Order: sequence, then structure tokens, then C-alpha cells
Amino acid sequence: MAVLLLAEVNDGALAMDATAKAVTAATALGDVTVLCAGATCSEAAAQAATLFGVAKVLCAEDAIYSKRMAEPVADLMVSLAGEFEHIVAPATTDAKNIMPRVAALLDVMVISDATAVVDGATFERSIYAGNAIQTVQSSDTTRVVTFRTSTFDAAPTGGSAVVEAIGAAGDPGLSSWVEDKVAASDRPELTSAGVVVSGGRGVGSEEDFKIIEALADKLNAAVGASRAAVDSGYAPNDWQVGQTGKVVAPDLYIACGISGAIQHLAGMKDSKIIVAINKDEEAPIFQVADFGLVADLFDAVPELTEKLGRNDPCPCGSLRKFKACCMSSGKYDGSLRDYFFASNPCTDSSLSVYGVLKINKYCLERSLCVIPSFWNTTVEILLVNTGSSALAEKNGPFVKCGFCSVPFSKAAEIAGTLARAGVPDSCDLLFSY
Amino acid sequence: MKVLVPVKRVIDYNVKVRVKADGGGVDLANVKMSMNPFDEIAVEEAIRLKEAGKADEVVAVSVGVKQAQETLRTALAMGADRAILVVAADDVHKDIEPLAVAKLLAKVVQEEQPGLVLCGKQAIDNDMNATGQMLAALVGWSQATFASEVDVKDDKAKVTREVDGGLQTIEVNLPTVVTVDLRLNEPRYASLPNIMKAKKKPLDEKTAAGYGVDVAPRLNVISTAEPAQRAAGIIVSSVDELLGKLKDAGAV
Ligand SMILES: Cc1cc2nc3c(=O)[nH]c(=O)nc-3n(C[C@H](O)[C@H](O)[C@H](O)COP(=O)(O)OP(=O)(O)OC[C@H]3O[C@@H](n4cnc5c(N)ncnc54)[C@H](O)[C@@H]3O)c2cc1C
Repeated sequence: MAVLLLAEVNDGALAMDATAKAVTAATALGDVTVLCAGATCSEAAAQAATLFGVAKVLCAEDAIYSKRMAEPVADLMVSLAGEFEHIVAPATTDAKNIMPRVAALLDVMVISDATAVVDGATFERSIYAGNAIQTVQSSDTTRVVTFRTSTFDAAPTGGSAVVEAIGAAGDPGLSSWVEDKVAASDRPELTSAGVVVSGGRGVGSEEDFKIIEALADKLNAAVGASRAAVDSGYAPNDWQVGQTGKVVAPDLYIACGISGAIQHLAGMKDSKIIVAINKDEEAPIFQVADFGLVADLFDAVPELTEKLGRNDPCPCGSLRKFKACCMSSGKYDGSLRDYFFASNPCTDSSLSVYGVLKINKYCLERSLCVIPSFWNTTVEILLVNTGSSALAEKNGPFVKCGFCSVPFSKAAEIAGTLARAGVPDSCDLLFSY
Repeated sequence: MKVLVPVKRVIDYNVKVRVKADGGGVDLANVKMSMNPFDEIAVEEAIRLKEAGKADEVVAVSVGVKQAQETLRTALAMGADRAILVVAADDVHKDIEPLAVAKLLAKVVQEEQPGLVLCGKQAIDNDMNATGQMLAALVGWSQATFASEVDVKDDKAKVTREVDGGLQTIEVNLPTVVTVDLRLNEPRYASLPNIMKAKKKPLDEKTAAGYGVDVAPRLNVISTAEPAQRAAGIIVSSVDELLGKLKDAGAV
């Protein structure tokens, strides 16, 4: 059985998280061939080739694929479809645009937003805004499926599939790209963040959304919003969580001034822990919340932001309580993350990293453990072993001078092991996220 | 230019959906049904194009059970000029799949030759988000999905789309299929006089068999189940208590 998987590529860059999650779903179906299409996408293809479970990567570079318009990409996929039983993609807006077109051209149904693979023909998906879970069995010979990324774990890296360049399939000339309006953000991506802080109509204005954003930044969280908040112009459309927005399942979801309409719940009710802050004790959001706080968000959210991390070790590494150290001395300006990186700047401008920790066996564990709110964040770690390369060989990918995506807590653990194994004084741990 | 607007009869978005105890689907007998909210936005946009002099006729079309007549009457009351009902099922519990709907719409497109098809980006019952894209494929047209702004000029439409990263603007050749998102407009309510007038507007009835389209499902529904329920939570009395609970749970 063979699977063709459309990788999520934006302007030549691979969206690793979404693609890796779809790879996990796809490996249950057969050998996975990943298709990267873009004006330039050889880097994306090389990266996709490192995902475990990927057998082969096809790289279609042509200007007509630069913005992944549905018509040319669908034609390309149809031209490749012949040898595949499954044609799949992560359920991003891009794939939701392209995949139904592919399915119709092949005269098969599309299975959108599948949440589980039962067998090669049978999939689960949610309907009615998550009010029911349907199991459907396809009678089509080719199954076109998009996978809801929040329900699959990302495939690990470390593989090395072959990359094959392929030609373009021709330009139907039906559409052209005009512009993208994408807000750059330092925050984690909404669909892959470990923590999401969302605001609703109760926040009241775009200006006051800053309260939500400040809490999010303290937790290194992504910011979400209800439809009402987006419709009212308090938040951009790409923050919308729900039936018709993004579906998220973070470890912690904090809903502030959101009533909990079923359409909103559809996008977040699989979160591990849900916190609701709402002044109306009757609000339906409390029915799904693990912890509910009946309060005015304008009091509760800033208080929560302020109190978070007060008793934790100070990010400057002093090992004193934060509130007794930098917080009281006024050096801290609101964002723990920014503060942390400011205290540990990276001086090598050739590396796109946010911080450097000088490590040796004494300070390493301590330095990494001081920021508990980072622990669920995935960070990219590069251990540059400027000392013994024998050690590098022995300890696996971390010391092979390559990037690894791991949760920060894991990084601390691995680094601790390295410390005990005797890291030379001249090691730098570089990380970005 | 003629604008074709496909509309679907779905369970009203305010109704609490109940899964039938035997796992045989969702209970749709005796529940309030309405026009799919996204389709209302599509109808509104079509009417605005007509009001702006960019379209000269708005035709609403629905594929489904006979009762979808009501949905079409709503579209007519909002301002559509005429309607076409393609009867493809006789049981209200039978959802016609997007592929079959798209095939029937392709037939209607052949007959009606619209310059623009405006449809909702997804139906809030099966949440498939597919019909518009499939129709565009079958008729070989361009497509512009998840639209929050549509600007029709001469033989092109400039469409701003709501995408994961923000907004994307594209230009598509006409004829085209546009699927609409929530922010495109706020649909009007039909006034009482317009509801009365709508009763006299033409509503043609066709059948799937008449078009020679097989609507047999490709996806066999094996079961429909209630989603897992969350365990009951607690109400905390202060921010400090909340912080304590979150620390205990290892969440912060
Ligand atoms: C087709 C369709 C699709 C939809 N898709 C989505 C979707 O994807 N995502 C989505 O979110 N919605 C969606 N909706 C909308 C949904 O039905 C609700 O209207 C919306 O979620 C309500 O947003 P809200 O909770 O922010 O606003 P409201 O329902 O107005 O709730 C505001 C809440 O804030 C509380 N509040 C007010 N002031 C304060 C304060 N000072 N402190 C604390 N609490 C306060 C109030 O008590 C209230 O509970 C969709 C609707 C339709 C019809």
C-alpha cells in the first residue's frame, strides 16, 4: 500500500509540525511518499526526508507552485495519483483548499479532518461541531484524506528518505496570487503550542486584548480568540479557535471572557486542562473547564499574569525566588521569555538562535531547570561540542551538532545526563523555538 | 452576470445535537432546521452583488430532501430571484455527500451558465468543507475558498481568503467558485413583506435521477457515537487557588 502525502510548504519552508503529524497518521496506511511543491522547496524536501516513516520525497519546484494555488497543485497531485491508494495531507487551510479538488478530479470522496485511522479504508471524524464522532468506511479505490493535526503526535526526525526532483504538471492558468498578509509573531504557533490563552467578546476591545497577550507571553503560550472576538475586530482571523477556525489540543487552555458556545468548544475541548475565567457563573464554558474562576477578567487575568512564577527560581539563574530577585529589583519587564533570553544572549550572529547557555557539569542542570513555564515548550537544541568529539559520537543526536526538537523539560534531562557524563567546559547549548 | 448560490438545509446551529441511542446517526426528526449559516452569507453576498449592479440574477439551488424548499424560500425572501430544488433523498436523515452534490451542481451550472457560484465554505452538519472545491474541479473552473472579501471586476474576481497564517489575496478568472467565510458580511433578515413575496417567486423542482447522477454514498457510515465527555471540574474561589491547582497539576 502506498500513500502520497502533500507536505505543508509555505514560501519554500516546510511546516514541520503539521507535516510530521500527518506523517504519523499516514504511516498507519502504508509506505509514505511526501510531495513538496513550491517555487523553491529543496530545503523543505530535505527536511521532510528526515521524518521517520517517510520512504521517499518528491520535490516539485516550479514558479506555478510558489503560492500553492489549488488548481495547479491539484493537477500535479492527480498526475501522480496513479500508483497510490491513499492521498493525504494535514488538515490545514491549504490542504482543505486543494484536497477536495484532487478528490473530485479522481471521482472519489474526500474524508476531511479525520481524527483516527481505523484501517486502510476506515476513518473517524467529528461532525456537528464535535457533537458526534462518525466512523466512515470508504468504498473508493483511492482514498483522499486530510488529518486533524491536533489528534496525532508528530513523527520523530532521524530518518533519511531519498529525495527525487520531479517536473511540473502544467499551469491551468486559472488564478494568480496577489498578496499575503501574515503577521509575524514570536509566539508559538496556535496549533502546536503547549499552552493557549484565548480571549472572547468579554475582553471588549483590541486594546484590552493586550491583557490576554501578556498572560500568554508569561506562559510562552499562543493566543487564541472566539469568533465573536475576531468578528468584533479585537483579534485577527487566524487566532480563531473553533468549529470553523483552528482546532487545538494544548496541555493547558485558558479561556477568558468566552461563553463556551458549542462552535468554540469544538476547537478546544480536547485540551488536557481547561481553565475558564468568566464573570457569569452560568456560562457553559464552566461545564468543560477543569478549573473555573468566576471573576471579572480585568481583575483576574492581570493578577494571574503577575503571580505566575513569583515563587519560581529567578530566570537570571541566582537560584533565589523570582519575587525576591529580579522581579523586586525591577529588572523584569513583563515577559519572562524575553527576560530570560536577554540574560543569556547569543553572540554568534551566524546562528538563528535565541539564547546560549554556557554549560559545564556544574551549572548545566541548574540553568536549564530555572524556568518551569518553558517546560512544555518545544525548543530546538543544538549542542555545539567544541570539546571532545568522542563524546559527541557516543551520546546520540544531541552531540552530533545537529538540531533536535524536544520539549524543554526533556532538554534539561538530556543535558543533565550529559553533565553527569562529563561535558567539557567548552560546550555551548544553543536553543531556539 | 448570473450568480448561483447553493444552499443546504441543516440542523439549526443553536440546537443541541443528540446522537441516536442505537448509534445510527444524529436525531433530526422534529428538530429546528435552518439554512447553513455560511450559505446565508453566500446568499447575502450574491444579493449585494446584484444591488451593486454587478450581477443581474441570483439563483438559489438546494440538493437534498423536499423539505429543502423551506431553505430555498428563505433565500428567496432574502432577495434571490428564483430557486431550483434538486430532490436527491426522501429521508431527512440521509446526507448527500459533497461529491454527489457537486456533480448535481455541475449539471445545474451547465444549464444555467452562471458567471459565479457563491457557496458556504462548510456545512455545519457534516463539517466536510468540500462541495465548492469539488464543483470547481468538475467544471474545470478556478476556485477561491474561505473568502472574507470578494471584488468582482470584468472577467476576474479578487478574493481575500482567511488562511492559517492570516489573509491571502488572489485573483481568479471568471467563471469561478467562491466559498465564503464568516467575515465576508452580515446576512440580512428577511422582512415580512419579502417573506410573503418569496412565496410567489419561481421554484423549479428537479431530481437527481433526472440529471442521471448517482448519489449513492462513497463513505459508508459504520457508526455515530457521542464524543467522550470531560470529567467534571471544580470552581476555584481566587487566583491564588487557581495557581495552586495549576501547579499541582503540573500545568505551570
Ligand atoms: C456557522 C458558525 C460558525 C461558528 N464558528 C465559530 C468558531 O469557529 N469559533 C468560535 O469561537 N465561535 C464560532 N461561532 C460563534 C459561536 O456560536 C459564538 O457566538 C461565539 O463563540 C461567542 O463568542 P464569545 O464567547 O467570545 O462571546 P459571548 O458568547 O458574547 O460571550 C462573552 C462572555 O464573556 C463574559 N464576559 C463579559 N465581560 C466579562 C468580564 N469583564 N470578565 C469576565 N467575563 C466576561 C460573558 O459572561 C460571556 O460569557 C460560530 C457560529 C456560527 C453560526
